[in-house]
Amino acid sequence: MISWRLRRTMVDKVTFAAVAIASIALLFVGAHVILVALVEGLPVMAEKGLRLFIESPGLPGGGIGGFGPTLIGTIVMVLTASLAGAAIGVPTGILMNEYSSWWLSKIAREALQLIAEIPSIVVGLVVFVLVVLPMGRPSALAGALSLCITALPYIAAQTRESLAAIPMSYREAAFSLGLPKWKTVLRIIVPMNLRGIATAVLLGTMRALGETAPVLFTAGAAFHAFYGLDRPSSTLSLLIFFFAQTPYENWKRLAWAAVLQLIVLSMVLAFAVRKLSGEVKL
Amino acid sequence: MKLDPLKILLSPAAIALIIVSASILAVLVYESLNTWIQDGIGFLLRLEWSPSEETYGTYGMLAPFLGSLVTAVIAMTVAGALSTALAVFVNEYAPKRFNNFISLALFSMAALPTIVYGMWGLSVFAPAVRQSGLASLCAMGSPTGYSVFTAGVVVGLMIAPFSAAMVLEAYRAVPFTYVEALHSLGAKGFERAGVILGLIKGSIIASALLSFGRAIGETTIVAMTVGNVINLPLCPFQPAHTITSLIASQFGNAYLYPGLQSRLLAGALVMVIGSSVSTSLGMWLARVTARRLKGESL
Repeated sequence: MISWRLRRTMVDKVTFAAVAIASIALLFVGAHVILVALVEGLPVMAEKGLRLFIESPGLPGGGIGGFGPTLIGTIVMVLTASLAGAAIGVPTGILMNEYSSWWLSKIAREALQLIAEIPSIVVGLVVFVLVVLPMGRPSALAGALSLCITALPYIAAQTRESLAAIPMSYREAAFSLGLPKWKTVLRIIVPMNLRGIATAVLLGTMRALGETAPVLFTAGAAFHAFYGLDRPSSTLSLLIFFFAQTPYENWKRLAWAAVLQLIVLSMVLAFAVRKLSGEVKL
Repeated sequence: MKLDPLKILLSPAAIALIIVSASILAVLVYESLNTWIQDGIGFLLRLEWSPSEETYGTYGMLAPFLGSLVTAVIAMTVAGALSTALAVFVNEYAPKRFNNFISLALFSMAALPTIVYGMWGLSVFAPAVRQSGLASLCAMGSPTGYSVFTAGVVVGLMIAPFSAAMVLEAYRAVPFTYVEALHSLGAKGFERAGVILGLIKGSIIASALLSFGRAIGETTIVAMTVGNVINLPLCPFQPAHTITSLIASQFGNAYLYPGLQSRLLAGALVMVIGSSVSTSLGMWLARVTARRLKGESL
């Protein structure tokens, strides 16, 4: 009897140790990822200061330079992507909530599900075939289109979810005053929920900012200047992807500075989303 | 029937979205048609990789195909084990005041872009794997630390916060009467966890399926850490390729080789189907489990 009790206690202790170690290991990795970026990135930022955000990368094996043109490319592409994503995603989200049993909503839901499940590299391949090949070159526009497609499911789904959370009584009040459905939705439900819609768009922006695979073949790899919307460009994530894998110490250090920059931007967006609407699934 | 102005206003966006997703499928199918007609699924079963600029080369994708599967299985195992352990730790052992901290930490981890994990894998984890000497366990172990194992673990760590959110939600959705009953029987932590994990088995499998779907399509991390060699992934510490890393490294020049682009897009289509099936199955299973748990609480 005693040995049985002892065994139970021991198994409990072992289980505790195992799950505690696993949990701490997971959280430690998260902290370590950020810590390494700080340790590697901060010195570069301190050394270059604001010039980091203006200059273009140095020659291989030379100075560090900066990621100025890439930062412009990133901002242009991500903003274009989230505006276009909002223009398509928000109305679709409203439609899916307001007419959930209409055939168009049902097809839209399936289409959205499909885009959400498709690996993001595939979006890049399709945009490559449809836009880059006919244009004859990768461009900021093609990159923005790929990012827009990857951000769409997040924007539409989050819009729909935030609208679904509005209590029915508001609609009932509007209907009882004789407002038609379109006025109810456009004048009352949507304005009431601007916060939810802003959350949805920010979430899409965050996704667009963090993605690398969709822009791999569509945005080009122009790190030294921003040439315009219809010309090759680059994003921070692309810069990291290419520069980190070169043997040049100065390019690796620039990549680390870009990693830190990307972490800061993503965190700002993520916590803005969290602040705007409490618990959000990423 | 009266036309609804709201429908007219909102429909164009929905139609645009449907056109986008239809054209993704159409492009994948149309551009890879050549491969399916000439070869069927033969290219997935062939090992030989010999590109040619003049003739249609041989592009056997068996090795990257298996590489994708092995990497995704490793990632799924890592994410599943860590998230289940975390759910047990948070709910049965950790003081309640840690809850906020842990959910904040998971949120921050989920917010990190994949390229950041890729950079960590490339500069921290791969060198650690190299120094650990684990590669000597394999006949053709990776001397650099870039291997299927490295890629799988880093992808698993990247997915773990998402998977943990799902398992934690399921764990907390277990009706409180069960938890109460377990406590009143004097069950210890591991016994309570055993019963509750049994109840939410469906959700755990569902989250594993979703992780698998995500891992199969992950490109950035894998391309940076898998080693990029066409190799059968017979041993986890060997460098290899996955379909995604193969696309990432070859697609840019694929137009130079007749036939390569079509093969790569066929590989992409296979991956889309695999990831889609796994994700849909996972979401269905999660719904069914959640509904059953709710039903039992009545």
